[in-house]
This record gives sequence, structure tokens and C-alpha cells, in this order.
Amino acid sequence: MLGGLVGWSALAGHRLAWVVAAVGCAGWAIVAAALAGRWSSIVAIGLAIVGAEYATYLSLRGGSVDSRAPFAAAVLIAASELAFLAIAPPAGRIERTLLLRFGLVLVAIVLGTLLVGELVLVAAGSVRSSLALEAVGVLAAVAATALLLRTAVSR
Amino acid sequence: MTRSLSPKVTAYAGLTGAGLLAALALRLPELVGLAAPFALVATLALSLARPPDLDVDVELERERVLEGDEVEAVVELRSAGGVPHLELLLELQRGLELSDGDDPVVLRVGAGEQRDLRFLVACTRWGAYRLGRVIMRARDPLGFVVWEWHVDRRRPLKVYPGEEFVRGLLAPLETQVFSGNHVARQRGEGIEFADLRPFVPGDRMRRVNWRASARRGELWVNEHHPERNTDIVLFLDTFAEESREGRSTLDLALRASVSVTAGYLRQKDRVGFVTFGGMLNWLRPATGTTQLYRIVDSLLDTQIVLNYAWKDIDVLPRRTLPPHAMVIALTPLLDDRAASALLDLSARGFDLSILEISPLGFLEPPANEAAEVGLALWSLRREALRDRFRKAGVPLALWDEQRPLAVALEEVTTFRRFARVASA
Repeated sequence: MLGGLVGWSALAGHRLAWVVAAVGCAGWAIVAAALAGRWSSIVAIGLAIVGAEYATYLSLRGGSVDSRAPFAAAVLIAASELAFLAIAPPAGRIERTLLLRFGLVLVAIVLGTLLVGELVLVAAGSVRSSLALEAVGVLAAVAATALLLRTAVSR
Repeated sequence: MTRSLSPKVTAYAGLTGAGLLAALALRLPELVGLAAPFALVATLALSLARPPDLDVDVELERERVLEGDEVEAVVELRSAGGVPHLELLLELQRGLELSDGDDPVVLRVGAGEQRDLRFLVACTRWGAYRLGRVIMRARDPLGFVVWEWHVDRRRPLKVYPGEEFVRGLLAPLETQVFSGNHVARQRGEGIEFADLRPFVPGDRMRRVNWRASARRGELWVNEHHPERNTDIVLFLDTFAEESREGRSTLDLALRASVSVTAGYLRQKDRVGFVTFGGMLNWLRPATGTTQLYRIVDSLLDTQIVLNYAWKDIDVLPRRTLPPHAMVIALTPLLDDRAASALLDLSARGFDLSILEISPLGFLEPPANEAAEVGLALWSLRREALRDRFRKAGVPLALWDEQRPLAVALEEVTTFRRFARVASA
């Protein structure tokens, strides 16, 4: 799945495709090594580098907003969920209903990601950039991350 | 209960931050679409995570089983709020194995639901166990928070050693005063004919032997041997054992003890036991089914405890070894202290018989010539010890897993028949 995203990002672009591919392959290799060695700490690094490959493709592509971004996001989050499940699988035989439930949850996450991606694209098309807006964006990004971590600790 | 966060939390937080900052730096709104789902999934998971509310109970089908039997253990789970993801492990001690069911198992307990998990446990080794410690791990629906805890609902489970088939038991040299199944040497009321003697006033007329009386011209009466019971004391050597692949000489000794105990108690004899080793344990001779359970329950707690103190049989209470009791010793003859105590018993006039539990079957084959020489020397030393017992008039038979117990008992009986201890 992740390999598909890496390959598509490399092949879809017209400029410096080898740079995009190299970045993507590095990310894919790190995720593969994390799965093989069951190292959960480097999965995020590998996924971030695959995301960076897509960002590199977008930067080199230029032009309008890429309408296929929600699909890339869906692939990334699905790969992330499956990777963490593979690294730390539950101990013991899993009941069939629980497996089915996990599958449904994964489908819901993917569909939700597609929806969020589409909403972001719609919002991106209707907003012009400005310095103030960028500052607000930075603060929002930092606040979102901090809130996430604080919620995790408090729970 | 310990709560911990999955590595997904930091990973998703990092991906969120990196994605949003990259989106701002590169002015690519698509990257917001990449990062936002990670933040939303993590926030949703953390807000939905609730500590599990679970009642656990363990029930056993039976509390007493025989070695090799299977017993069903049921783990009952009840949750008011539900547990979306639960990993459960029923801890099994060594000697118990799972023969059916999955352990551990991953399941979901719905809100207000009761789940019964059935585990079929095979009792492969005798012993007194406590079964029912359950270890659990719960996760939130998206796997971001993990709770781990265990509950102790242990129930006693006694696994009794299997009995060996025994055709005939050792006949005692001396009997006691109570009625039993053994023909006593004394003369009295009984069934077995002993002798004839002249009639004396007071003898019952039904004891008159009319044929002998007619031949002699005066009254002669029959004398009989009465049936009496006897006192048996099992002497279990627990100084040391030889073991291999989960089996040991102590297992054989206990199996023989249970077989012999059950056999003698069925004959209405009184049976007691002494475990002589690192830990002393004893039970005075008594009779009945209650005594069988007392002895077997005490034997279940037997274990080898390494100890360097020299023990004498004087440490035992006097009534543990009643006079004229027959002592049956079960020993691998690995420790000099046990051999010394047995020779002491014989010297004190006890009717002693020894069943040597052979440790040879539990040894690793010698790896080289030096080990072979060592094994040969050790075997010679053991043979010399056996010779000491035989010279002292103590019957000794070797028993291992390859031979029935009945054969070993028959060897002892044959020795006792042809080599009796003469006492003044």
C-alpha cells in the first residue's frame, strides 16, 4: 500500500522524479525495517519521510491544489494503523467478531480521512494566504499537537 | 491497574505537527489534509478511552482429580460499560497444561454482557495447585491506551498421583492387637489352624477336635491363629531426587506411596508416614478413608528442600514409629543421611523393607570416557550400600518406571520369606 503511494508520487511527477523516488524509497525502507524488527519508534519516521516524498512531488509539481491528496492521506493513515497493529499484535487468538470490528473501524478511519481531505481542499480553494493567517496557522499547529499530548497524558 | 500509552500517541502527535508545519512552510494545503486525520484519530481515541470496568470470577469443575485427568476451568467476565478489546491469560502452573481452548485469548465484552471462557486443563503431574490467577490487558477501540492488571481468583486444585497396580502387599512380621486381615503368629480365636493341645477346663466344646480326641482317648482342642491388623509406616526420603524432563524419582516414590497406602488401608491396617529430608513431615498411623485423604493431601505438599543439617530419627515423635510397626522405605539412596537413618531403624528392631527408586533412568547418558568411569564408580558405591542393607537383614528391591511395582514388592516378599530377622 505504502509502496503504491511511493511509486505513484515518483511516477506522477515530471521533474526530478529520481529525487522524489529516492525520498520515498528511503521512507518505505524505514517502515519495512520497523516492521521486520518490530521497532514502533521508527514507524512514524518512515511514514513522515513518505509524506515528505509526497510533499516534494507537490512542490515540484506546482500549479493547482492536487485533488488526489485525500487518497494519499487515506493510504498513509491506513498504512500507519496496519503497521502499528503488525508491530504489536494482540497476544493470543483473536475472536472473529473483534477482527471484523477492527476492519470496520479501519474502513471508517479511511472514509473519515477522505472526507476531511476533501473539506481541507475545499477550504484551501476559498482562502487567500496572508502573514497573519500563516502565524495563526503555526500557532494552531503547535496548539493542536500540544492539546493532543496533553489529552493523552491526562487520560 | 497500570495505564500506559501506546507508541501510536507520540507517533501521531509527531506526524500531525510535522505535517502542519510542513504545510505552512511549503504553502501546501494538501499536507494539512495529510496531517489532520492523524490528529483527529488520536484525539477521538483519547477522548473515548475509559478504564475497563470488569468483574472476573473463576470456577473449577472439580477440586480433586487424578494425575492425567482433565478439569474444566471457567472464567466468568461481566462488564457494565463493556470492554472493546481485552486480552486475557489464565496462568497455568508447571504440571498443568491446556488441552483445549485458547490461552491467551483476545475478545470483546459488550456493555452489560456476561462472557464465560472455558479452558480444559490437563493435570499432567500430581501436586497441590491453586488455579485462577488471570492476567488481563485492555485497550481502547483504536489502540492508543493500554490498561494492564491481574486478578487473583485462585481455587485449590489437588491432583492425586495415579495408583500402580499391586497384586499383593508385604506381609508384616508382627501384628497389632486389633482385628484385621493378617494371620498373627499368636494363638487365639481365628480361622487359620495353628495346633492341637489337650483340653483344659474352660475351653469351648466347639473347639474340640473329635477325630483327634477319638484317636487319643481324651479331649483335644484346636488352636487357631487370629486375624490381626498391623501398623505400617511409609518412610519417604526427601533429601534429594534425580529428575529429567519434568519427571523425577519423587514422582515414582509418591505413586508407590499412594498405591501401598490405599492397599493397606483397604485391609483395615493402620498407616502413617514420615517424610524425612530437608523438611520433616509426619502423620501418625490411623485407619479409614479419612486417613487415606490425610496422607495423600500431605504427600501432595512433599517437595525436595536442600538442607545440609544431619538428621537423626530421634527427632521424630515416638508415636510416629509405633513398636512392631512395619516400615516401608521409599528412597533413591542418593543421600547418606537417609541411608544412615534407615540402618538406624533396622538396628532398633523395626521391621524394615526398602523400595529403592532407581535414579538411573533420570540420568543423562555419559558424554565421555571420564563420565562413564564416574558412573561405574557411583554404581559400585550404590551396590556396596545395598549390600550393607542386605547383610543387616533388610530386604531391598529396585524399582523403576520400566517394571511394575508388584514385581518389586514380590522381590521383597521373597527375600523376607527366606531371610528372616532373628530377634532374641
